[in-house]
Amino acid sequence: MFYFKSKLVLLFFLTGSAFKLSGQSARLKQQHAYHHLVHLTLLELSGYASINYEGILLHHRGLQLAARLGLGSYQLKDFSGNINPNLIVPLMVYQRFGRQLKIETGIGMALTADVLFDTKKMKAVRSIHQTPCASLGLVYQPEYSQLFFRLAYTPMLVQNNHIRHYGGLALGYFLK
Amino acid sequence: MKNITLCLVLLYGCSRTDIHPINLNGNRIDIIGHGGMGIFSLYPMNSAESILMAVSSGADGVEMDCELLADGKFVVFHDEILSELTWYSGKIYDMNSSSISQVLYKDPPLGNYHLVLLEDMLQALHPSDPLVTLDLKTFSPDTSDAYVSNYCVRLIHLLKKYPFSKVNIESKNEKFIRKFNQADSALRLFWSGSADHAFDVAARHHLYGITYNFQDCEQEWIDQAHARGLRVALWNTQSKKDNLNAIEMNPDFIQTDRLRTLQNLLR
Repeated sequence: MFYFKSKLVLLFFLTGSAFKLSGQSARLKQQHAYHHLVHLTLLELSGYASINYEGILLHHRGLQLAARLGLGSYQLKDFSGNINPNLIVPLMVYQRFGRQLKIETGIGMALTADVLFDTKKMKAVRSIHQTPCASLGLVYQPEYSQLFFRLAYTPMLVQNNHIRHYGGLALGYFLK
Repeated sequence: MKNITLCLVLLYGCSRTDIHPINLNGNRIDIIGHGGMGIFSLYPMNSAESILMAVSSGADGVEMDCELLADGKFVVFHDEILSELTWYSGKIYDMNSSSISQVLYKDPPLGNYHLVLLEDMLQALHPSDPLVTLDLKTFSPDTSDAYVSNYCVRLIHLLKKYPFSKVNIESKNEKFIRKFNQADSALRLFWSGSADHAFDVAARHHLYGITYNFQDCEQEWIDQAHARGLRVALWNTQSKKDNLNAIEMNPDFIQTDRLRTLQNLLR
């Protein structure tokens, strides 16, 4: 697992530093004005869907660094029929580079709070798990627009060091 | 106004299905959740959550697949190979009960549902006393009399520890059927193997019933089974249409993957 994580971190920073965009365009200046992003994500690290907030931490010459916090779920009721949702919290850090069309890489984890049946206590209990994941995506931000589209491949590191291949898409809106 | 009322009555009447089964189960069809909530549920089939959800949603019973582990305990699991449904590899009958609770199902993504021992499942179900159907999985290459006896003795012991009003035991292995019948002739044993040999096997071992795959089953088989005093369980109904067609065949039990749909039709 450490091997996987260390390679991910290395890839994250190498791909970021490989790009240099010279000069400041009007489009980039316009994008730099936005520091917050809210988006709805389907599948990916969300269960069925999640609502997410990203804080844009850094803008620099077409390079963008962002941190994501979200909340998603698969179901609102547990197996007993009680309202007791399982919760999925994606926590990710992204870097994006480009102008209208950006390449995005990310690392982080999905925290899940599942309602499971505990066979020792013979009742429903909430259990917290964390699943490390990465992201490789394409982001599209139309010219002079606050809209945000992302299509991402999100491999997850699961039990016994297996990689689960997954993905999803997001639709969002930048805010100042 | 009268015309509107008449239309409403006709519409309501046409949308309801009047069902009056004729079978050996007191003319009622028991609704059995296939592996719990079935293959379309978010919960993995045969997981504790799926099985308990089926019971809490009002099913008459649940069907569970069970296999004997290396240390003599039973696990609720469908496959022989672990890697199809879980992140582990190897054969299920080589596992021990101590490691079973660590094995996670692959689906759903980000889910953390794990395998469960049959004993734990029976203990959890015991208070609500549903109809329990056990589909015996006998993947082990060991087919010796000693193994079969061990399997039989341990399962019967478990069922005596957690007694239920109604327990159906299904198997497609005649050796196991024979052994269970010898151990306890009061058991409700079902043949779930080849339909070609079903009546012969049933006659040899005085079985309680036969389990047929709904997708292959013919009405004539059910009629002949009932004529011989054999109950019929149908499995593999995956849609409203399947459930409706299965109901019309007058089985005694339907193991369905669309539990709520079947409940709406029958109730």
